[in-house]
Amino acid sequence: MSLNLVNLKKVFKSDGVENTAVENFNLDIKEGQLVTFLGPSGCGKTTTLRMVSGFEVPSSGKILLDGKDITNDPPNKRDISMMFQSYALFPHMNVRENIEFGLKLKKMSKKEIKVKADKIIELTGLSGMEKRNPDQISGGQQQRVALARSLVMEPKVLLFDEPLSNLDAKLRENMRLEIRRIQKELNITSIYVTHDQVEAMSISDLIVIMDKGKIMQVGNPYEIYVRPQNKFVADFIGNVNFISGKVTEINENGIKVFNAETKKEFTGYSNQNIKTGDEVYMVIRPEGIYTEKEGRENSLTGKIEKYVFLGSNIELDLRLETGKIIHINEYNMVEKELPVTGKELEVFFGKKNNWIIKK
Amino acid sequence: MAISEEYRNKLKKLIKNPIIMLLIIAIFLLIALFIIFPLIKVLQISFTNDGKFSLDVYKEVFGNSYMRQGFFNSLLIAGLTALIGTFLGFIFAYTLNRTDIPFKKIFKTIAVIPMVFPPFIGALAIIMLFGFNGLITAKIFGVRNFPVYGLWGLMIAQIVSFFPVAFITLDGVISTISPTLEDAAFNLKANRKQVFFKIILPLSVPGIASTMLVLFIESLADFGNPLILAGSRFPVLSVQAYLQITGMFDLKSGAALAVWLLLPSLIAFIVQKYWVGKKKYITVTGKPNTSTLKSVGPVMKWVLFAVITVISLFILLIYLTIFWGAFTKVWGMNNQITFENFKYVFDVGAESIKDTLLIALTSTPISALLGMVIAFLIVRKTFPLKRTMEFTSLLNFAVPGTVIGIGYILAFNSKPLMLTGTFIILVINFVFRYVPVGIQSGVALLGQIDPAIEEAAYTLGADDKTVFSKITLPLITPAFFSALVYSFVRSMTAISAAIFLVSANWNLMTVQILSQSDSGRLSEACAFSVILIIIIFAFMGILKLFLKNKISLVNSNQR
Ligand SMILES: Nc1ncnc2c1ncn2[C@@H]1O[C@H](COP(=O)(O)OP(=O)(O)OP(=O)(O)O)[C@@H](O)[C@H]1O
Ligand SMILES: [Mg+2]
Repeated sequence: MSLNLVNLKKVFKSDGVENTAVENFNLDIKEGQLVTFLGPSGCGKTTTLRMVSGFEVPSSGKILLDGKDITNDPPNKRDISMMFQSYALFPHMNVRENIEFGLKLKKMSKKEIKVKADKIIELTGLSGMEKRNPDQISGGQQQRVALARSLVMEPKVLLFDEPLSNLDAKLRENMRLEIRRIQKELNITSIYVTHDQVEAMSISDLIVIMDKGKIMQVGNPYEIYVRPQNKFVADFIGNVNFISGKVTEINENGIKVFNAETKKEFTGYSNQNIKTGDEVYMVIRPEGIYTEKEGRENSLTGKIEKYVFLGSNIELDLRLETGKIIHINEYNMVEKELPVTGKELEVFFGKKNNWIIKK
Repeated sequence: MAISEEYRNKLKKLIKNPIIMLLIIAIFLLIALFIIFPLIKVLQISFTNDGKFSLDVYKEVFGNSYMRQGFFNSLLIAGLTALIGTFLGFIFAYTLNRTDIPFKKIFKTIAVIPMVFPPFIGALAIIMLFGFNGLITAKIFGVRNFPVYGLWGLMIAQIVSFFPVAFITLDGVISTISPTLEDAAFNLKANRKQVFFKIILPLSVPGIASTMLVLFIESLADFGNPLILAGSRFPVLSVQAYLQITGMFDLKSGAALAVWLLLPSLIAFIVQKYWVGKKKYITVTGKPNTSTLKSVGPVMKWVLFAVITVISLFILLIYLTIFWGAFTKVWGMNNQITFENFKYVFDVGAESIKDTLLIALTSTPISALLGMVIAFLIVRKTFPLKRTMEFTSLLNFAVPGTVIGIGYILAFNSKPLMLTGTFIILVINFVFRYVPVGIQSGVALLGQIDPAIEEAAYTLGADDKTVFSKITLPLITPAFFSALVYSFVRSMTAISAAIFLVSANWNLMTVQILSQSDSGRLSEACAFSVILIIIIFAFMGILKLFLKNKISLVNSNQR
């Protein structure tokens, strides 16, 4: 089932004050895709999800499921299941009753219900706990009951609102893999809200980066990380150095950018429509900066401010003459010397590691 | 753009889901018909003369010094009852929460006893103890003219009758003040007096204010006690209005008096709900509070113990008197033990016992269920005029029974709603009078339940009806049952509105008790009361058995 969100907008009014939670929201999700919403708190992730599930009425815009307008359908008439952050298990029903709740409403035969429930209980590893109440099982198990309860409905669309945020790190990783495996196996179109970048990177087909109710970028994890389209996205995902400048020349070798503070020219590349004279940011990831030249066209010089040795890598801060701090992340220090604080150092980065975006 | 797209979307969604819409409309209609319309009728008749708007009735009423007196008396007694009742309730609740005195459970039980008795039992017992033939005054001290009729007797009767309201509210307030706050203050080198006056008292102020306002409203609305105790020596509005209507057949003056009774009550209600109610402090943190009980010194502790013992003994005395009275031949004259009173009651009153029970058993489940439905709509749904629904459905908290009673006879005395004297009008009256408690406990409980639980049910395909019956209702059973018990007890013991609505065909036990005591048959009135109590306890016992002690039944009466 494909899902299309067309120009969605939601304005909350409270005490006469208008608060735009979501606007200009356009997104096409193909059948079987898992899309994550990622963004700072309050950026409208939950609100969007609640419009899709039917708990909020959009101020304007449309929601299409397989081309059919479902904007005004009540939640129970949509083939959309939702897994809540708080699990929202029915406290007065045991595990099996929780899982079978939706099936019973579908008026299936007893036998069919049992077969389906058994299968999903097996799949989510809940065997042996069917008779227990939600308060008699662990957080991770509750999580799985919530997942099973949604999955057993074989919904066309499955929504997750920070489903793993209440779990510890280890369990979170396991559950994340499990969700992805089951989602792929059953080919369920899904939207997944999270605060956790690693989580988003590891399970998504598409990532939607949001800020203040608007989409900042849509792309697969690689595109989001390597080709951010604006400063917000570049900054939000991973660590980053920004150097601003003005485009002086564009040729087949790349884009030349002049930085006034360092009085240096850098070479980089972009997929944006950049012209000579444009004010731009150069986006340089710490792990793209090296201490060896080896054919890299750009360089920076400064004093080593401080460093942290982390085993597999070293995190190093370099203070340029202009006072700006550049973060560097170097891997595998075994064959190299440890840095000395206060020492002068020249570092290099190639044009492939210098991504250019418009200001 | 006259109507926004969002509004249109909401309407479309509502139309696709008509059950909720119809339900909302139906409830608005019911509220308009059975809560608002009677009030309008009262206002209307009091403001017209010869079919035109006029203040004549008010001029007349206020030109009459006897009726003026009634207004001031009502305010005076309500103010005094509120002050002293709250003060005593606070001492009681404070002692039980902040000291380690023995017998706490017994004290707690005694404090809530008056709740299950008809409110005017206090007056009956006071006459039996301190009246002309009073056990204490006449028999022990030989005093025959002890002034029980009037302000003081009435005040004592009311304080006893409404003591549970004060105690339960204040107990709720004090028990949620975390003792760790007191520990912190002691740690900062405050002494006991400072801790009490700087910490506990300021934190209790909203609760105290709220208790006073509630007692004020209850006292204003009280009808049975003043009818028995105050008589013409100490006229109050509720009794005057009743006498105008039933004695003089003067509906207009009765209605005007009712309006004067309604006003202070409404003001107190609005202040309580929208001003005091907003000022509650939350000091419960969810972490266990192990009380260290340091805030009361050893001497003070026993002083408080003595005080609450006296209060408890007095309450016990009042209600034991009723039981004793039920088994004596003629109270104060012939104290022989006898069962004749009960025989008399069954001879004269079997019909009214059956009627009362039938009416209460019909109205109670309807009222409790309606309360849960309204609570569900208010907490979980958005619809136009939601605040209006909340306010009007709770309005009967504030409207004195007398006013409602007068409103009902005015409103339902002509076709097509010719209901006076019927079973239906009594049932409807009880349903809407006691629905606010159900709404409030439902709202309070639903507020604590994660709405995602119900939303989860929707995403699993459940419609509104299924969500309400399979998810919401089971989750708020405690509120449902406390509403059930509350409205049963209140329906069984109701008098102020019901007295206008009873008829030869449908009579109530409370009305019988009043008329028995009016004609001096105190022992028979007591026997009636005892049977009433037995029915109430039987009902609670059956419910308890049915629920296998899963739910505590005594937490009604929250506002
Ligand atoms: N029912 C509501 N009434 C008024 N404003 C609301 C309501 N629900 C959300 N908002 C506002 O809409 C904005 C978006 O909220 P939303 O819950 O969608 O954020 P979110 O991205 O899910 O945040 P988080 O990551 O913290 O969960 C916020 O400014 C929030 O305050
Ligand atoms: Mg959220």
